[in-house]
Amino acid sequence: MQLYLPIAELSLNLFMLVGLGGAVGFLSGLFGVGGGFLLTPMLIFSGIPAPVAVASVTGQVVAASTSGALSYWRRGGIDLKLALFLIVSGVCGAFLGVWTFGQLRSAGQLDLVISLGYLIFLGSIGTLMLIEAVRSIIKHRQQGDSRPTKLPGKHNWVHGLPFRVRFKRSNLYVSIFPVILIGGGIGFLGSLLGIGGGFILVPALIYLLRVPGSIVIGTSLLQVLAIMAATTILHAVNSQTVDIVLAFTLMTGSVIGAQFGVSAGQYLRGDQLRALLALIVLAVAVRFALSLLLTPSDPFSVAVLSSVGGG
Amino acid sequence: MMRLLLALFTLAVMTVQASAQRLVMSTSEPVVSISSNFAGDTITIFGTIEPDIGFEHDQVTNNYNIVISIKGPAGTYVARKKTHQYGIWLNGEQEAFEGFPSYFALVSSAPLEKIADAGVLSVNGLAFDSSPHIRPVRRTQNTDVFAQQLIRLMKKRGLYSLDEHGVQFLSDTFFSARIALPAHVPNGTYLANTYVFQNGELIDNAPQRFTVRTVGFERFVANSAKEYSLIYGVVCVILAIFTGWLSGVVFRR
Repeated sequence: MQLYLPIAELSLNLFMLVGLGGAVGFLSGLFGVGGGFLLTPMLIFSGIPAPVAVASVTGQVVAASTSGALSYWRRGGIDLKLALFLIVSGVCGAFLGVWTFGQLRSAGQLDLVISLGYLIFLGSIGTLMLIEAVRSIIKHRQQGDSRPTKLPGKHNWVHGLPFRVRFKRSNLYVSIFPVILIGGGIGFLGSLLGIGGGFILVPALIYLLRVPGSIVIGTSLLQVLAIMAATTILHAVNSQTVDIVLAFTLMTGSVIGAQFGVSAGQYLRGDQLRALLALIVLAVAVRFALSLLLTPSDPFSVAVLSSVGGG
Repeated sequence: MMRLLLALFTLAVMTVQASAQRLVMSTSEPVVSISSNFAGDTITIFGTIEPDIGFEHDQVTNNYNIVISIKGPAGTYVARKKTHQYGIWLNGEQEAFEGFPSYFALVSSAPLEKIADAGVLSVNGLAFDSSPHIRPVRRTQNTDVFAQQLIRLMKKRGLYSLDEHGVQFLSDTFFSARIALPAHVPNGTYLANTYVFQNGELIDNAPQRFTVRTVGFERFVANSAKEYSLIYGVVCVILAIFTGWLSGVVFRR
């Protein structure tokens, strides 16, 4: 059954879209990430124009983050003060990201930056995650118990910076600079690449700020939710590329898929999950690396600069 | 049928040509509506070649050839070429073209080179690369190459098409053609221009407009996104939060 997408101005199979949302939702439920980094490239591959894909996925990520954020909120797994700092800096980053998005689009280098961005960030995060997870799995085998990997020390160089703020819920007393930098960076990348950024934010909060594991997922979900909500509105106003029909179809699939993902996640250990997620992240990075390194089958591409007459 | 009769009448009044023949034509649908299950559409163009007022019917001789061009709304298009720099492939050169049709179909009753000279066809805009359609923003030595590539890419997307046997003559003077509009045709006003050739010479032409536009809910969505973009964005976010909340309630996470 074909579904016409009024903003993308093309028809796609309804079941394919719901299925795509469902598959990505399954993964996001399994790993606790938004799944934007998988969904956006897949939509572009399906023929949806990159600007529409990026902007509509931000709407989908909002829905995917909401149910998770709510359940963590009920369990008290959110540090509101930390989230607020991350959100305020993140919205500033998102403003910059949406502006850069428009500039690159008219310069014809948006594809390159998206490819490079995905390659660098997914590649480095994926590699780090994989190393960490494999180490943890090996340790688990040797010791035979399932103790969580202990982080080396409570403090690192980040904790020596000035302008410290106390985050009671996270049991942290840390400089606001790394917090603002992380928040702003995620907001910038998220709006530019059409990703929630949870998979970058979670490791950054754990490894740089030493936020406790019980708080980190809920807080990052709330941050992603707020930033993506702001980005959706920014894209809607700035480029009018948010396709509500596409976003709604994707989010319907993804919230259902996420439920199965959560159940499936209970059968896997944390380190195995992280290794699996790292492999998926790396696969997407490799896919982008190939598109940059291999001789393109068609060196020419076409883009519409000023939109054709409405009606 | 009423529409055809009306079109015949209107054009009969409008068309004043020196030649002995004149063309009357119409399209099957003045408005192609895009609704939620739109998967492309086929539009039929039909017409007849009539003797002009004051001429007898037997003065209308045969050997007609028809070429129909259907052009969608124009926009500024840019063709880009990837080049190998710093070890990676990135968009290097680019050429922008103004007033480039977003949709272009050429349908004819015979292979184009048998109907008329390339020059005659080109002057009338009956070639994808004829001068009316190729208006580079800045002309360089590569303009022609990029124009050809742009046309090739548009063909690949199904937005440019050539069907040299698409016009059928149902009698000596009555013809019809079916033109497929793919699911991703842009919205806007389309111009269908029908040209009658006889022995390599253009003897008459007649334009006909039709509109491709979204209707109902899809139209409402597209308009809201343009005119009330802030409210539209807020509604998207509320919808997303509501969907996420609902799923949390339904599945009791």
